Amino acid sequence: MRKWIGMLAMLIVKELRLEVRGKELSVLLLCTSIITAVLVGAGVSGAVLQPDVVSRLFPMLLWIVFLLSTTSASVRGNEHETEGRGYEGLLLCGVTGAQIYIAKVVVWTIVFALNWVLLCSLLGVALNQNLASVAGGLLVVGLLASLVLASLTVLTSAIAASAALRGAILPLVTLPLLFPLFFAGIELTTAVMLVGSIDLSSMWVGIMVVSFTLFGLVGINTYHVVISE
Amino acid sequence: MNNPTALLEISGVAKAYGEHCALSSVSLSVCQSEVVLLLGANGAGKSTLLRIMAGLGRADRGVVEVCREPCVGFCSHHGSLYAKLTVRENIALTARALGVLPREVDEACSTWGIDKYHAKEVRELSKGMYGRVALARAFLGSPRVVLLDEPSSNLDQEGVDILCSKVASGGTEKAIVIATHDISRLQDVATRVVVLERGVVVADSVNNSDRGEVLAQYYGAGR
Repeated sequence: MRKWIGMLAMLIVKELRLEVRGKELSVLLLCTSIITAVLVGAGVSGAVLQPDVVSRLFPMLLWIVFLLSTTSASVRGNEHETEGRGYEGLLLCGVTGAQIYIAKVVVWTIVFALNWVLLCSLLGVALNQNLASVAGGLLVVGLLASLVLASLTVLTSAIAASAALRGAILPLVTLPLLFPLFFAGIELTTAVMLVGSIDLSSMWVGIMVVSFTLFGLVGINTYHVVISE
Repeated sequence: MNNPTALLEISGVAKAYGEHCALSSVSLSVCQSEVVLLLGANGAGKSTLLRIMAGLGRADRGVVEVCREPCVGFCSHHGSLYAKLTVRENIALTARALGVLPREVDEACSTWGIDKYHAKEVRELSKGMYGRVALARAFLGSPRVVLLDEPSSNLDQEGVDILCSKVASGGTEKAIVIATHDISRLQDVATRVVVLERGVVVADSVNNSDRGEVLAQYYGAGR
């Protein structure tokens, strides 16, 4: 078990290094997030809505931008695996698909959570929302959502890695599976903005935990099949 | 395995990619101390066969038995390396997974002449150096079965000499299969020659008694 965890830690470091050096996921995520946030901000400003209407729309807009940017950016997340087929070397020396999967989920969760923070800040400024007082609650929502998203997109991006139209296929495959997360996220974000903190016993948190468990279990048990021929 | 000294035994292996039949009922048994040169034209099925032997590809039919202790050494023409990791980081990943000591990693790097590039990302290396790193990784952890897919294609003469000495030093413990077109540089280390044509074994020097005869018959290259 100690050896297994030691190898997992090394794989997490490997994933971090690859992301820091290649920036495959983070650059696309950053660009997509900024562009969509600016477009949404400009659109809402142009519509000349009342401030209370904008406040009510804010959680939904935030979640649309977050889900769209993460699912479309995850297309590039698997590039460094397919580039030199490094995973083959790992599989041959006894590393399991589950270890590779978990390491990726950890690193993608970090990247997605950073994107959440960026989006909250950008959209908060663009739509004139004061989020400083609810930042803690929003961060917890973002971390939970990032875990669910990473557990699913690590798997789907590997499935779509060899597809010619993966840029289009991946969001189409992933987004329907994320509907529960989408509704839970909007409800939790709205609650956090009203109350100021997150109620961890709420049904919406439960939906996120169940989604993460489900996607995680599927990923751990099938990732080696997905990345092998 | 039927043969007690065999480290690798495949029987009736078939593989198709859609309509294209890559392998058709291939059977092969490789014993310890054997170095098999797997020859054949492009598309003959050499790489497919090696991937199936390594466990990275699945056969549609047939039985594959390979000694996987402590691991299978495999070098594909992709290299199976992470392009944005350094030489050292790539090898360290394998070493960690196999429980290989840092001293042995240093020795491997020095043997293959890649120690001065250890801090370079492998994407910055020449193809020849990239090939050496892939080969160093494949031999790490003293695998009993080593499968090499066109290992000399980008190597200079020094690299081929290192490869030949590494293969020759396998002694009686290893079974090595080398798929190659580079007959002239690698035939001296081979103890056996197998020729694949359109997914079928058409010649095997075990049956033909002399590898020189097989090479002469198919390539006009034997001695």
